[in-house]
Amino acid sequence: MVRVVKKPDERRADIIAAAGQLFLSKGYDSATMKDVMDHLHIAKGTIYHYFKSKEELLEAVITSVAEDELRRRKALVDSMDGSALERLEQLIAAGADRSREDDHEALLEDLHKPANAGMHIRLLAKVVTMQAPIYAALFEQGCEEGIFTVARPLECAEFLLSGIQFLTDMGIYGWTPEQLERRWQAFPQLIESQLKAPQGSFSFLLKYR
Amino acid sequence: MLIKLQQEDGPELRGRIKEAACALFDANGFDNTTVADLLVQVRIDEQRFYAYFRSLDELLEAVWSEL
Repeated sequence: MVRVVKKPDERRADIIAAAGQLFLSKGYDSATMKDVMDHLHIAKGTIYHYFKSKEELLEAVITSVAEDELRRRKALVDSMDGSALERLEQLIAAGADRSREDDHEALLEDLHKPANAGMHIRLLAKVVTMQAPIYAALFEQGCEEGIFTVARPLECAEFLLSGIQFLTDMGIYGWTPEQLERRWQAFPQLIESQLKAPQGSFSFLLKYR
Repeated sequence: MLIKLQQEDGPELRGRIKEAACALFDANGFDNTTVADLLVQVRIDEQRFYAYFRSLDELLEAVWSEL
């Protein structure tokens, strides 16, 4: 086995990348340390040095997926012109697109296994806290435009994102289609009342459910 | 014999071996841990250790993947 000396950060990133691929191709449950080891040609002890358990490694994979997604959305929002409402719609549309991609679906399926419930909740929490500031900035823009009135944009974003993420997560609730639909129908109004936005201004949300 | 050997068996002992291994790996690193260190910690003989794990490598895999 040829050993390549790498900086700890690089090594850590390599392990996360390899594990991400493995968890998706083999499934989290059946991936072993040996698989990661064979993939990267590093010793088991080296993997253990960076990640004390498989669960810790999965968490790092999830964080890295969430961070990539955050960077992508940040870049998108920064590149957009337009009113707060237009930018919010584009941001939400991009999110809906993204979640239909295959890689994402596979990872989500793994997360929905009962054994990964704790991890799943942590990912949701991570996504909410990471993305809330992007939404908050757009809420603030809306306030400047005089279309929204919100005293605490960040907390409002966290509150709305948590509610929507959690309540529409079929892995957590297992709603019937009717039950899920009833909630979706209410979200635009709920958001509008939080932001004191004009009636109907968030109807676009239903296009991206 | 100075140290009284543990007589328990089964999943409980397997669990204790894993716990002790975890503590040793964390304290000394995997590469500096030997089966001998572990036997002292868990108070079992070599034969009983190998009845549960074929090698230290296999033990590491178990510590790492099983919750």
